[in-house]
Amino acid sequence: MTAKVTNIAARDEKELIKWLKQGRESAFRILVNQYQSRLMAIAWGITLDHEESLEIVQDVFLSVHKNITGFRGEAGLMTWMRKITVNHCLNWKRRWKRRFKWYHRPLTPEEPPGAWNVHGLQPESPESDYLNREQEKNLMDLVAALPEKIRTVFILKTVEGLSYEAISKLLNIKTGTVSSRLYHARKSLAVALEREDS
Amino acid sequence: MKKCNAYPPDNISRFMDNNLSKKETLKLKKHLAACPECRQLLNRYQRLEHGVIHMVHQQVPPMKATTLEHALLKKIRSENQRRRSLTSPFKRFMDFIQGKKFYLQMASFAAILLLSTMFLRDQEKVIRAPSAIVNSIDGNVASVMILETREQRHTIIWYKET
Repeated sequence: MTAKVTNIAARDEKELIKWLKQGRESAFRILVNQYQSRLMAIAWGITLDHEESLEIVQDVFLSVHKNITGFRGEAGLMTWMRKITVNHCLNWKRRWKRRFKWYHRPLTPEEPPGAWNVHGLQPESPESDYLNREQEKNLMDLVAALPEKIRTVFILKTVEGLSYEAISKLLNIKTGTVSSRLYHARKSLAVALEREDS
Repeated sequence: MKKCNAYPPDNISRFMDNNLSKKETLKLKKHLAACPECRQLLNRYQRLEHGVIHMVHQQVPPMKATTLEHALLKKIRSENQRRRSLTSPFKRFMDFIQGKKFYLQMASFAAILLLSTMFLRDQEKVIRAPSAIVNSIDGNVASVMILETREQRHTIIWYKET
């Protein structure tokens, strides 16, 4: 029964929602397996904290389980869960907890050499390759230094590839604000990296 | 950093996100072909984006059905059990009786009862205003007697005609 449910539900979100509403454990298992990595990426992108992201994603799934009966399915499961995830990440209690953590812990984790090696970048020369690696090492600190509102927009655009409209709807801000926050994030990161290079 | 002032500074960011109009996109494309500064900035933004994506994927590797799922299912099972127990009225009543809240509920009820009794008793003591005032009686009246009932405090006017 579980295997059958797994195969069907992976293809059909509506069926999955129906089974979730019926409280089937197998349906919930599918939900977790299908979406946990994406939600973790969003949560980590905003919080930059692995443990906290895990906690947030767990809370998101529990929230889905609790409220699935009232879910009308107009916006799609991922859209709904993404919104819950972002709200959980921006929750003030968590934010304060995070600030406290960051205050008491250095931002740069001890990484083995080459841990930030870049994929997907096409260096023009060995020198630029070297610079890119160096930049990558500092990227996490620079992203962490961005204001949370700006980082959230940047992560939703970069990691999730959402449109300006989708981000504006999700965060309840104007598309112009989305555009300016993205520009601000890119400019700040580019300037900071350039400063470190020189 | 970019020194070229041919376009507003956020246009390259919007161009990257495909958020410019067709006309603006075409114009900027032509400009990018001719301007190494703007091209360099676009390239830098793209590298940053790739770097961030890579960083996130490194920090959050694809997750397997592991502890998160088990912990969640455990919580969900207990939640389901709780929900089921709530659906039975008898069980709900028993939980209410057995629960610690029962004593609190009883104390509140007793307090409300006591207060309302006191309030009603006080209300009875209040002398209400008369329902009517008799200023004069027309006709030939030999004698008038005004009485008041004890409990209800109704006024009775008794008179004798001549």
